Amino acid sequence: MTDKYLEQDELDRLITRELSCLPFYAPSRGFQGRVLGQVRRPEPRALVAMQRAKAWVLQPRRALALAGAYAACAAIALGFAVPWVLQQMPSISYGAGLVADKLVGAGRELGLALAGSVLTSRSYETLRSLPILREHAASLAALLTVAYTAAAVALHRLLKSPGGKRVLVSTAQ
Amino acid sequence: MPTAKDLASLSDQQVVELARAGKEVAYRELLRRYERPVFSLIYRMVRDRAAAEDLAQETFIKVLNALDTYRPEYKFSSWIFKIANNAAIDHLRRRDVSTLSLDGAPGARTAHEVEATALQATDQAQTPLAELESRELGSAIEQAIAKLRPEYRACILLRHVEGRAYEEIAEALDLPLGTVKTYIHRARLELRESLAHLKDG
Repeated sequence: MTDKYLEQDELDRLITRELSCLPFYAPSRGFQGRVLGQVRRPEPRALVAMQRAKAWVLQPRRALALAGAYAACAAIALGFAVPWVLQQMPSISYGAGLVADKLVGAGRELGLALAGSVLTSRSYETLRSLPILREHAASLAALLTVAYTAAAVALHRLLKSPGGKRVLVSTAQ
Repeated sequence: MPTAKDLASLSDQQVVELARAGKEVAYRELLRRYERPVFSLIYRMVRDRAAAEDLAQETFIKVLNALDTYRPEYKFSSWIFKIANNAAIDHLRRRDVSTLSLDGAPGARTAHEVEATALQATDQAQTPLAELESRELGSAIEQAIAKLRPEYRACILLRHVEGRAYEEIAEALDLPLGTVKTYIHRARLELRESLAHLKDG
């Protein structure tokens, strides 16, 4: 009985030794190349990220989202800027007043110089005696803008080509 | 840019990280490390060189294309052996080839088929006499392994030929640890029975 166990033990050791000595088999030559030929290798991450960002931006919806984000950023920036401006209003309005006075003065001088070359002496003197202040200048500028816009709209309507069917005009007699 | 020499000292996980970053040399290193163990396991499971090549290729393509899904908390070797074993088992189920002699697949009818399905070792570096003795015993062992059930065969090959731990085998084959131990024990009993005649000789 003991001999049988000893034999089995020896056989076990033999099997274990032989199993660990079994050779590894190698695939045929060119195996690596065949495998790598069918493997999709990822591109470097930075390049992938850049390509994704580019593709994202180029899509219309994405572009819209980008514009929205930009607008949101602008709104946030304004949210910070407006209170600051309001806080600094006295100094800003003082500086703006000075600049406006200078501009109005320069505009008045230019207008008078133009009027001097066009109007008679009497009309020129009348115009010169009118008190033109900064408030008047603003109203005048607004009036001029409205008049200019109205004139532009009227001209556009007048000069617009007639709608409807296109009529062939024959010049041949 | 790491060279193949630099990669040799890195762990599997580190090489996988480099492969994920798109380094071709890392892919080659993973292939270099596992082509023989994986091919040997599959070859001993299916006993058909052409089929083993195809299955090993399929295994590597699957693994290398899915590196992004690999979770580093698991051993890379367990993952690759799991895929290799599944491929071999699927093949055996499809072909219904469970046992086979060293002289070729049972389905081999022509001389060419017999030659193509006979086991061919490539890694022997022994003296002629030792090689002859070893080849006799090795052949007997190979034949005995070929007679084992595929589940026992995978366990015994991973344990004794690949030298993997029981836990790793359990992970690779999706089996409870106790089952792996039982399979290996039964496989050894069956091997002992198959090889008893050697002791008598």
